[in-house]
This record gives sequence, structure tokens and C-alpha cells, in this order.
Amino acid sequence: MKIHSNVVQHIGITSSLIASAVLIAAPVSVYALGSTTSGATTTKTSPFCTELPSKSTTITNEMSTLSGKLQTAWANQTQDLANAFQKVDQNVATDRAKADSERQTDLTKLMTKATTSAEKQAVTTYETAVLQAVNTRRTAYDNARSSYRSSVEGVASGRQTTVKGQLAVFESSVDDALINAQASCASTPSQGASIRATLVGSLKTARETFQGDRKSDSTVETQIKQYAATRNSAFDSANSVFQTSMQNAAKALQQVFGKTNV
Amino acid sequence: MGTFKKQEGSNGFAVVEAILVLVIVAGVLGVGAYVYSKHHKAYTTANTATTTTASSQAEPLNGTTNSVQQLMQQEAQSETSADSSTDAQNMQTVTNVNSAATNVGGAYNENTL
Repeated sequence: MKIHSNVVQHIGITSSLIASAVLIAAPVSVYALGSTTSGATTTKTSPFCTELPSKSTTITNEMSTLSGKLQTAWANQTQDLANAFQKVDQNVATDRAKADSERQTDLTKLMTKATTSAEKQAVTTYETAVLQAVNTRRTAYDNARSSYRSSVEGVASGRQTTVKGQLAVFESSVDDALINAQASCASTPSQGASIRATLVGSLKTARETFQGDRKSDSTVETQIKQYAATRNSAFDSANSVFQTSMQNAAKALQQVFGKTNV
Repeated sequence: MGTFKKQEGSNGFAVVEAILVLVIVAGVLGVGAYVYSKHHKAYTTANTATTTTASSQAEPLNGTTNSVQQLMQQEAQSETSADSSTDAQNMQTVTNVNSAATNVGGAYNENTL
């Protein structure tokens, strides 16, 4: 009986110690995790899971804001290019109108130097040849200019399509990562640390993938420079043909007049 | 003792003084005229050169094949310049979008979660 009494006493002391330990530890755990009551069971919620909805909203909003700015930049790009091209067109039209007027004045003076019908016919022929040379040059310039513009707009548009695809993947990856984290928090709210680690890894991968895609952005500059060089080369070629045509027309006229200083 | 007394024949000294003053004045005027002349000549030469340059740049419109060709050549150069002048602007327009795209990648810092 004494032995039995000692065992009972020992069990009682042990139970008291365990109960005391539970009473001391319980408030600390509750403070750290919070609690969620679901039916008869109580689940601890980590601070990470508690704050996840607001942090998700912050990330989503910032993504949306910056994505909106990118959309605006694309719209501005299209408009700015159109404005720049229009400005060139206006300057070219002004230059051509001025040149046409002055050329006509000059040709009229030239005609006054013609005294014979042969000379007058030669001036008319010269005038026709000059006009043809000018029109040929202008057409060549217009074509080169148009080609340059189409290429620039094409590379900008193509780049826009590519980046839009990359952005869609980025946004989708971020959304999926946040949704998965929230689902994990809903099912295992006490596993905040591991859920956070998974989310951080997913967001990092998504971000680094998108940022890595940006390395190819610089190819646009190289392409645009090449388009300008091609256009300028076409200008030079057209100009060379133009000068030759003008010189030939002048020589024909000078032969009829019998002097070189016509 | 201690006083100056005008001596006979000392009137010539005033004449020498006057001549000396005239020589100095003439020298100063001469140097001034020389400097002005040189300066004026240089200015005139520069002005003439500027006028000549401006004249050579301006289209004479004298009814010759040369003037017609020069006119048309100027037109071609103007067109080339009009196009080239917007190249840098076009480049800037296109590359501005790159920075906007780069900024999206900085929407968050996952390490602060």
C-alpha cells in the first residue's frame, strides 16, 4: 500500500509539472501564432499568413501601376514617332516648294539667254531633264525615308509585342505565387515560415526572369542605327545619280550654246 | 643772390619749348593715326571677307546651269538634314520604353516579405 501510495504521489507531481509547463508555454505560443478556431480544433496562424493578404495587394497594385506606365510609354512612343515623321515631312515640303520656285526663276533667266530657236529648244530640253532628275531624286529619297520609318515602327512594334508577352508571363507568375501562398496559409496557417520561403523563391524567379529578358532591349538601338545608315546610303546613291543627270543635262545645253559658261 | 634774373637773349628758350611740345603732340597724333589706320584696315578686310562668304553661300539665281544645279543640290542637302536631325529623337523615343519596362521588374522586393 505504501508503494502504491508513492507511485500515485509521483504521478501526481509529474502531472502537476506538465500542467505547469503547458500553462507557461501556452500564452507564448498563442502570441506567436494567433489562433483560428475551426469546429472543435484551434489552429495557430503565423504573422506572415496574417499579413499576406495586405502584402499581396501592395505587390499587385505596384505591378499594376508600373504596367500602366509601360502602356502609357508605348502609346507615347507611337505618337512621338508619328510627330517626328510629320515634322520631317513638313520641312521637306517647305524645302521642295522653295526649291521649285527658285529653280523656275533661274530657268526663266536661262531662257532669256537663248536667242535662237535651237537654243530655246535646248533650254526646254534642259528644263525637262532637270525636272526629271529632281523628281527621280525626290522619289528615291521618299522611298528611303518611308522604308526607314516602316523599319523603325516595325522594330518598336515587334519589341512591344515581345515585352507584352514577357510582362504577361511575369504578372501571371506573380499572381500564381501569391494565390498559392494564400491557399497554403488557408490550409496550414501555422506554416508561415515555409510558405514564405516558397513565395519568396517564386517571386524571385519571376522577377529575375523578367529582368533577364531586358538584356535584349538594347538590340533595338542597334537596329535603328542600322536603318538610319541604310537610309543615308540610299540618299547618297540617289544624290550621285542626280548629280550625274544634272551634269549630263548641262553638257547637252552647253553644246548647243557653244560655250561652257551657260 | 638767391634770385633769378632774366638774361638777354633768353627768349629763344620759349621757342624751343614750343617746338618740343609740337613735336610731342605730332608724334602722339601720328602714332594714333597709324593705329587707327591699321585697325580700320583689318576691320574692313574682315567685313569684306564675311560679305564674300555670305555671298558665296547665297544662291545667285543668275540663270546658269551651275546655279540650277547648286539650287537642287542645296535642296537635297536640306532634305538629308531634315531626316538626320530627328534620328536621335527617334532613338530616344524608342529607348524610353525600355526603362519603363525595366521599372516593372522593380515592383517588389521579395526579401521584405
